[in-house]
Amino acid sequence: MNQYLFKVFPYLLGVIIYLGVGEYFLYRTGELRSIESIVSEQLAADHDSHFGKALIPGNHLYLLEHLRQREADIIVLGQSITHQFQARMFYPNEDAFFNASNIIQTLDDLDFVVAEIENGAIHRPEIIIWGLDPDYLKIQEYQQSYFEEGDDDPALDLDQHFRGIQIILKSIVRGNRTYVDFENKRMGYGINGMKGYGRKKDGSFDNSRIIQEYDIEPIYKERNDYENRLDDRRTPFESPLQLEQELILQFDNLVTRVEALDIDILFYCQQFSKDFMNHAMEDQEFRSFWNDFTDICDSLDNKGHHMILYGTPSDLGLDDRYMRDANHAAEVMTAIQLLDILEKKGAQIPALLDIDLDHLRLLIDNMKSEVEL
Amino acid sequence: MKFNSGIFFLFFLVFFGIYWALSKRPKIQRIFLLASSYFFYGYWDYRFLILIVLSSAVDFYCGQQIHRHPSRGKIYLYASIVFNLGLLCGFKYFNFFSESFSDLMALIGMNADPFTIQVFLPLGISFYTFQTMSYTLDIYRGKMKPTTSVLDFFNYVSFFPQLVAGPIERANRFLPQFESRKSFDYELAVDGTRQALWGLFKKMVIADYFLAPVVDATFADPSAYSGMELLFGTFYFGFQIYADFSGYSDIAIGLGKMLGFRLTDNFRTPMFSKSIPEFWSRWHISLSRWFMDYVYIPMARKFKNSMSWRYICTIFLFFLIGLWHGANYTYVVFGIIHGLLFLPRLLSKRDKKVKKTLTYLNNDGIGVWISMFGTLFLTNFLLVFFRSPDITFAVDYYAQMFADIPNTECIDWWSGKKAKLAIVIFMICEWIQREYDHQLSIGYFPKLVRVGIYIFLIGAILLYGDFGSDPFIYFQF
Repeated sequence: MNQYLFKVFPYLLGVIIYLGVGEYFLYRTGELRSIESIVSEQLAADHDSHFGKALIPGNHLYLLEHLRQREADIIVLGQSITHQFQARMFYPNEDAFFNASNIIQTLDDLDFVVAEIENGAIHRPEIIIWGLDPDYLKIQEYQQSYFEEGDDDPALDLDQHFRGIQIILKSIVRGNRTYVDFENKRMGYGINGMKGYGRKKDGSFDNSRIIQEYDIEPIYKERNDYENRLDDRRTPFESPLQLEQELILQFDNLVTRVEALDIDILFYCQQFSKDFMNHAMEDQEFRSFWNDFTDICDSLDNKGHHMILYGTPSDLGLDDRYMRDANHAAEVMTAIQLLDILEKKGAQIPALLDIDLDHLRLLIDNMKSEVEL
Repeated sequence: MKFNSGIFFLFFLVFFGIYWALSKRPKIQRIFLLASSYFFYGYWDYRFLILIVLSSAVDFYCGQQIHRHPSRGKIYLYASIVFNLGLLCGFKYFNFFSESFSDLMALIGMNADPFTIQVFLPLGISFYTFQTMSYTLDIYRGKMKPTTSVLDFFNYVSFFPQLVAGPIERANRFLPQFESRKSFDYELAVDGTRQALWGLFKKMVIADYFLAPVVDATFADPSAYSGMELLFGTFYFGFQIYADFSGYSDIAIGLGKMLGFRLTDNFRTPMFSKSIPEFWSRWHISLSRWFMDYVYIPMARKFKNSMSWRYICTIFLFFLIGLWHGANYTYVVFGIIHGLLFLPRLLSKRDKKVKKTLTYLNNDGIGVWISMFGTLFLTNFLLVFFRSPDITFAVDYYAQMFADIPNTECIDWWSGKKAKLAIVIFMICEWIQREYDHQLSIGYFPKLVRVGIYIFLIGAILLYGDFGSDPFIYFQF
């Protein structure tokens, strides 16, 4: 036995050293912190900070943990289209706000969150701002839900550590210092968070890289190559471009369950840039797909739901510079859309009744000047 | 718990230390082994442990009764078979049979809604039920006596290195290994460590890192690829599943050796087979032998002299092998085609021309290469059925492949170049070491070369291995 141990020990030692060095880097980047402790610390701190783990991710779990630890009365649920709703837009109720957009990959995730509200694990909010984009109603190949494998913190998963270490060490070998360029720990958690990129304390998404790019060249750019993606039927436009009836039924069922909880809903529908829309509407399959989607939005509208309807910046008299890219409204446009609905229907949405509209207008003006719109 | 996960490394490290520390107390060592096997399985889903315990208990009891009451042996044998096949049917085939029955009714104009149940497929059920059945079958046939030790039998059914994906062991060979006292065997442990390391490399680097991404992309949307790329896709998948499953077997056998056990070989360089029958004597050996011994031979004996009966038995054998892999017509078709390709060997016993051709292909210099590449092509080509979610998908895949294959303009020969390179290197290693138990039987290499190989393999696994995310393909069976 000793002879065997003597033989394998040097190799085992090599593995231990590899893991030790890797774990050190993970520790320095803040990627090893448990999500529960990050959320607790963020909530207790008086300064804002970013959650931007990239090596041992868990974005959806971070959002879930916030929802569990907070008693937010205004929450945002959806995919990335609702990223730009921010607490400061809801003055004086900033503390009651949390943006959990991107907690949803599929409707099953939404189902999971609604069930958490039903069973009391998440505080029942007064209103949900519900991002409604066609992506999770579309027919697609199997797509894994975020919560399909439970809600265990990946920081406790050894395999995630191995993967994180691989990314770091491979990047070092390639001469890339991205993952060992430790920056301000106070600024955030995780390698991106330290660079001021990721989720802010209110859950809204701060993409400092895009803002930096925008500062250099403040014009609308079709960053995600959306037109080509549509033409080539790549994500999120894979064939067939059709809505799935079963998913629509699941969606309807979720709406009914949320209503049964006596929670108001404000639907925020998909927005596209004018540029993209002009291109896309020439595509017959997309046109039919888009019409089916807008029919669903219209029927919700007709049923009396509060809606920020689908459209392009031009519907608000804005241009494409108000989009972050082809399918994401930038924060100014989001704020303008919020102001628009509050001015028109604010009285019918009790949960948002006491939002200071003058403050919101001032905020919009300030934000416009920040990005030279 | 997957072999390619960090938690398994930790588990095995601790287990290995305690297991050998208990070597002077064999009974406690065996209790510890059983508890660890159950922990290993229960880590995935503890609820399904009850099935393993039940299956073990039923077969232990039936084995005893068959031996004690030979006159009623058949009843206990049937009880064992019905119980195990019942488990398999309930968890694996119920919905398939129900839907097939409904389809059949629809064909004759009767409407019968299929009754389906929502149930998880317990990990490894196809493997351990076959293992326990072989025990009662062998006792009934008088090939062995039942064990009197519940502990040994339960260990035999649940031995964690081979519990979830084989090799499917036979009781008369494997069970006595639990009864004997284990003392640490340096040579065996070193050989086992090498084999497990090679298995991990095959699974985590070749199958998961190099081949899985390109296979997944090809089969996710075949319409996006040229015919030649689709053809390559089938080859990539062939090598992926081989690296994946033989990788699992190597890890299982290697770990077994480290614990003082010798498991059955499951693969013997099948990619160099010269015919379909030879392929099946080298691929998933423990399964084909099981079906051969317990299904084909007893069936074929019924009408020994009838050639047509043999054909039927052969097709039926491969139908079952196909169905064993999964409750889907794709596997059935896959199996039946392999059965048909097996027939020339039977034909050669009667037809001299066929015999002469096969002899040429198996023995002549050029003939050997032709038959080797031909078999490799055929076996990989047929795997489209194996990988497809349904028959329509498979047919469409082949249609797209054939429709577009003459079109050489749109071929990007360099697409998947990493995968091609990995396959070539992998096959060179297989060829060089084809006479050995496993490809890392490198005890005869100079020490410095050996050390270099170990460092390379460990480094590649640590840097490129896919930890935990991709389960072994055969786990789904």
